[in-house]
Amino acid sequence: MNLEFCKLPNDVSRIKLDGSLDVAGVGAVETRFYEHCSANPPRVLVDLAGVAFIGSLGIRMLLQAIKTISTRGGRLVLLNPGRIVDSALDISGLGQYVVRGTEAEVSASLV
Amino acid sequence: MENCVKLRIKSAFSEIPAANEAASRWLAERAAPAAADYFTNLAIEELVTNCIKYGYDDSAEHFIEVEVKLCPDELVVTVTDDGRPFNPLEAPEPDIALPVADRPVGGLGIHLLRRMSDRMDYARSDGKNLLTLRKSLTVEKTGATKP
Repeated sequence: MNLEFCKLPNDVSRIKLDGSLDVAGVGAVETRFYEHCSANPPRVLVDLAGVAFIGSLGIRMLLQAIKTISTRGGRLVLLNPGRIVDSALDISGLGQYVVRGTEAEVSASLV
Repeated sequence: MENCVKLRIKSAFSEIPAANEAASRWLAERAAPAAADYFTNLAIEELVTNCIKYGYDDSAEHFIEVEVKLCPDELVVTVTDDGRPFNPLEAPEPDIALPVADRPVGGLGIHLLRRMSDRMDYARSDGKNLLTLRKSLTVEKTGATKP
């Protein structure tokens, strides 16, 4: 499981995840993921295009981050998940946080 | 080519990735659709994890058996464990319509499996839990049949 972090030009935090958000994958990235989600301002784009698998632990990690960022008055979106991951997010009630588009378009919509 | 494989998984979290890899390899050799791979991995991940976390009253070594059967139109995954009785069909459904601030972050594993299965059957026999999950590979259910 890989995690890449960068700041986009309009001060949006971009976290790109690649691999499987299973027990091992979540264990490998969870601490860094939460650290990056705590950046200011609380505007976070999580790129899920490279995530091939998500289980309940992965969904729990995303949900926890959404809750924390919402409490701080910010916004987190889930960018371009593949079809199966998208389905799992929808079943888990996170479909409203899924967005489609280019990184630049979605990032601009967060400002 | 055999259409059924049995995996015997030691009750330790560290055993789960290898079990998932073995299942994925076996399914790939049979050109199974991506949905079959995802569903099998999800079943192993969620049910074996639950069993290790909550199933045992002792620290002895236990084994969880997972049978994967790939039919032309259906995938059947059966998980057998010798943990304390647990019927996932009786587990309460999480309220995913709650505002995000009020939502608990857990309890989604069984919910995911329920929603992605076409049928789930539970039995308790000879001191073991037997859970059978069936997934159609021809009719799309919750968008997860095709990649």
